[in-house]
Amino acid sequence: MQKILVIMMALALTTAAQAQTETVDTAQFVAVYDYECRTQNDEAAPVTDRMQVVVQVGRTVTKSMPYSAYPVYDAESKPDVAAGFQEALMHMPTVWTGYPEGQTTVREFIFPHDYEGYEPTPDIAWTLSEDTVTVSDHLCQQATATFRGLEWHVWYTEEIPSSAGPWRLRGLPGLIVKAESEVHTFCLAKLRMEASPITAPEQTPEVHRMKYAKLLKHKNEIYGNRQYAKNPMYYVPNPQGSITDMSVLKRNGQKLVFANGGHPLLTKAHVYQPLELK
Amino acid sequence: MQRLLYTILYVVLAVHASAQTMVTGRVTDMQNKPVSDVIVKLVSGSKTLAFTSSNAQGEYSLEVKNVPSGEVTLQFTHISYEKESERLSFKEKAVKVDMLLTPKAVSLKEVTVKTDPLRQRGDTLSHNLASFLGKGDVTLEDGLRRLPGVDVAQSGAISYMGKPISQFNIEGLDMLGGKYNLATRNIPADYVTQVEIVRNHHRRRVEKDVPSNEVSMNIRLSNKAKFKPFGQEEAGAGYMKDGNDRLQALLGVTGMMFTDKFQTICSLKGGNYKSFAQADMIDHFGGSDVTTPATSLFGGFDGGAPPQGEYLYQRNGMATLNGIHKLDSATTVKVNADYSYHRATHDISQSSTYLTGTGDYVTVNEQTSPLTKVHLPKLTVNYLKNADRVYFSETFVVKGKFEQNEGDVLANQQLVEQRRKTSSFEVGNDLFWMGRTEKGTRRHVNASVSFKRTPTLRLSFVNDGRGYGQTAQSSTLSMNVGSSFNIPIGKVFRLSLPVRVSAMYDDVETNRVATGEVNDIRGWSFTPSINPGFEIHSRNRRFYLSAGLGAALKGLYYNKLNYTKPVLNPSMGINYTFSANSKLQFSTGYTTQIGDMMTLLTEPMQVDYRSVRTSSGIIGEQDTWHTSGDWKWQLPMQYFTLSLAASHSEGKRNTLYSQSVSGIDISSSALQRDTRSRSTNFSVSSTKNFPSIFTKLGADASYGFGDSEQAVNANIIKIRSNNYDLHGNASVTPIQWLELRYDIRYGWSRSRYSEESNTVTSLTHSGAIHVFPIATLDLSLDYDHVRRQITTDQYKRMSLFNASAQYKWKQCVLRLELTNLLNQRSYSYTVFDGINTYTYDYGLCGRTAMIRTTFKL
Repeated sequence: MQKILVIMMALALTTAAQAQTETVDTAQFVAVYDYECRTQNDEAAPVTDRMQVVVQVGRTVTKSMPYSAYPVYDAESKPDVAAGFQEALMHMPTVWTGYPEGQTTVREFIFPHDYEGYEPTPDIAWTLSEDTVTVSDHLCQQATATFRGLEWHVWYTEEIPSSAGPWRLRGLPGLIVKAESEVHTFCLAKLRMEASPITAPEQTPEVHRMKYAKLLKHKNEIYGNRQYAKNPMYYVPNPQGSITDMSVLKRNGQKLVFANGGHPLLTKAHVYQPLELK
Repeated sequence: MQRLLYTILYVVLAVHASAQTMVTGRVTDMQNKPVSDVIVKLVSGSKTLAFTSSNAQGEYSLEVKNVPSGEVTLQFTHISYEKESERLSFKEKAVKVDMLLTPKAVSLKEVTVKTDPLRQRGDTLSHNLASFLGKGDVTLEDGLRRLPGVDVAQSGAISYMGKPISQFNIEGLDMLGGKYNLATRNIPADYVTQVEIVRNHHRRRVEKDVPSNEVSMNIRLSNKAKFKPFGQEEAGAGYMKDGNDRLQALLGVTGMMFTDKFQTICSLKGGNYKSFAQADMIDHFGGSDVTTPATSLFGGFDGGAPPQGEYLYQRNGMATLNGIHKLDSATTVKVNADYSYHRATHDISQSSTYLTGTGDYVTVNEQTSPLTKVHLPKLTVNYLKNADRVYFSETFVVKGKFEQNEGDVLANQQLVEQRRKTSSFEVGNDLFWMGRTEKGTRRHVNASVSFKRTPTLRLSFVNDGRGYGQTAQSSTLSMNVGSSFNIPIGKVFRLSLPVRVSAMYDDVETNRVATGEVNDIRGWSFTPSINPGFEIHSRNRRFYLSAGLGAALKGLYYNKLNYTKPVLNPSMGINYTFSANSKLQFSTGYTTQIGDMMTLLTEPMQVDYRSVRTSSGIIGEQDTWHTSGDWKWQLPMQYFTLSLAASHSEGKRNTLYSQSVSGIDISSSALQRDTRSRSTNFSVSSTKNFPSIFTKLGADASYGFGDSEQAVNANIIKIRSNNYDLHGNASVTPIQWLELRYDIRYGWSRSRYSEESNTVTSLTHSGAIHVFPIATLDLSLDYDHVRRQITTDQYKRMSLFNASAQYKWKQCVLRLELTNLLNQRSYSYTVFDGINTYTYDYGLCGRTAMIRTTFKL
């Protein structure tokens, strides 16, 4: 049973890749970051959530996505069901920087819909510091900036001349190795030379497209609500009617519920820690 | 005072302005192409004063607020290029620095390069070709044969899990259409890194949310095959022990270039060794031939082909120029210009036994050496825009076919001369537009027009000193206009409304010279059709159903005939995707085929020296109900594929094919009588690879049965037939220096009519042994053995042996081929065509030795 669910999960996670998507660029390298978020659970006890973010750095397009959305599955690294569940707790979107040209496109799944936000790629006003420090074997320099209400301290390395970084953090004269805000931390875990294709967002009519500011407002309103941690489905007017299919996996005494083609369905959540305020 | 203030203000502003300096410029690579995402940094000592990155046009601009007094450096860094820098001294307020970057070999810390033999990305399987290659493999085609689920036929046609590929791309561009042999047989296997198979291929990106059963292949080239021209030169000379062309030769040169924006393959080949040049020009998607009503009425005298062995004495040559240019990420312009010449002759004796009206059999023995010469020029120009929201394709084709046939026959010891000469050409244009709105509504418009003509077709016969003949000419103008809407209603439902009008004007004349019997038919066939339908695509995208009504009005307006008939051809298809690797498909449909003006040719026509054809004048109507289903299952990571398929057809015609035999003269016509036919087929096929030991196993089986009717001299005969076919193959590398291939096929077929029953079996096996005494030397011996039933208890056994030695040295492959080692000179087999029996005895080419070299240029 568990095996079937794992396969189903893999299928669900590859649905985006199943429908043919346009290749918009080819990665020059792939960076994998560990992402940590320090928050509270539904009973206000402190918890630290962890997941990985994969960043494909192309010539013109950079794509940052949750690890499970990176469509390269080989025998060893089949997606772990629980990891997919963990990702769902952390609300990490897939971000295309430079696609379309000069724009940033963001894809989010907010149950039961897919959303796409677009906006001109914002510039982050970094202040560079001359301090150097070695992080993960890379000689790094520090930079700071306030991006949409959050103050970030980042360490970048000029050894890798790319202005990319995890999520939407970018625009430094070297690859971001570590980025920290009050509750969020990104840390470079792995670098791979991998000329994998960078695919565009899958164009399905079911996706709700809107300006990014509107999407961010919607996301922050939904997840930012006080009820959210205790009842993550509070905002769905007819939860039963929105579910087209559902499966339950019991793992280590924990019940994991998947709905609508394998999307994790949370019964309890953690307090939302936004990456952007406005 | 005021003046003083202005002066102070001016000085302050000037000082401020001088403190703000702009540095602008453009970054390009060695090909003068812009390089984006270059980090441009202004550094003073170890301090970064300002930085930016270049845009898609390679342009950058830096604003420096406080220009230091000392020396500053402008640095350009990029992951793929060598670091460059330039010293600046800010004497001016605006500085322009353009920079040329040189590529570098990238090295990153913690680099892990994965070379899995196979990777799956959604519905795309990427095979790392090098992981599958055998030692003796030279061309891409050799490599493709090793991939799991991939089958490459003798003709070069590629299929994946039994489904022929519908597109062959090189680095994402479809340059060759169906003539992909040009690539698979001329690109060296070691120049290809990845072979990608897309299992749900969409020709048009606007339709990518529609489930697709098509399979396409894309190959990725290694860097040594990119950006600079390469090619190969082939030359060979040989000798055939017996046969028509004793001295054998071949010569060919192929040049190619693949860059990001442009691809080309040009080739020039000629020779008289097998189908050396012609093999590259096979169009697997069809459409290279020119078929007109005149040429299909009066075919050539080519005498068929044996299923095994080289039997043709050929001289063939070809020249081809192909190029595709990518205008932007979605738009391409493609030109294909081909010319091929083919001359072939072979020897055949044929014995045909026909059932006569009295229940007796009459047998005709004939011996012939048909000679065919064909010239085929063709030019295709295509403009294609294939974007997410819009698809536009415009194709112009002009092609010709110039044929000459000789088919002198020794029939029952009497020599008859047969000649045929004809030339045909076709010009056509095809336009297709499809657009998709943000909400998912699709619309399409297409228009195509073509004109084909055979100005003259001439048949002449001399039999027993008596000359007679037949001439024909035909012109056909066909036009097709169509449009459709496909509108989503809610999340799962779609409505579609395709409308189409096709009109065809035909002018056909035939003249039987000796008797003066003339057919002269001209007029229009006109078919407007409308196919309202719907699609249901479940929210989880697993279930898909589409159905259409298929209403049409078929009209034939020729000479005095006015025939109009409304038809309804409903169809339905269902797909269910269990997982990315398991898929079930089902389709059913009812089709009505209405005969064409060919049935109005009621005056006799001489098709060969002893056959006269007369059409019934009855407009044929065939209703067919066809149902098919298949299930495909694969475990790509375990290199396993399995497919099961079943189909059933029921047909009803209002006419029945009738044959009359008088002496040795055969005449055929059609009777007005309802006739039914049925056929059912089942098939299963599976492949499994063991990449670690370079082994591929495959097995498939099929079973079919059916019944049909035929009339002989006005007697109706019901024929029942059933057949099965078992096939298995293996390619094994038990030890590093030995490679074995084995293929076995057993076929059984039986046809029964009245009290008669005919059963034919055939067993063929073929095998090959490759020995590699050293890694670059491949010694091989292959054999074909066949055991075929000729009559009830008579079997024909035959073995054909070939050997070769191949030595790879740097850029050169030297190969010695010995064909037909045992010098077998004939191949016989029998075919039961319902009630007639045909026994063929083909002459085979004698033992041949050929030494050939291939140089990579």
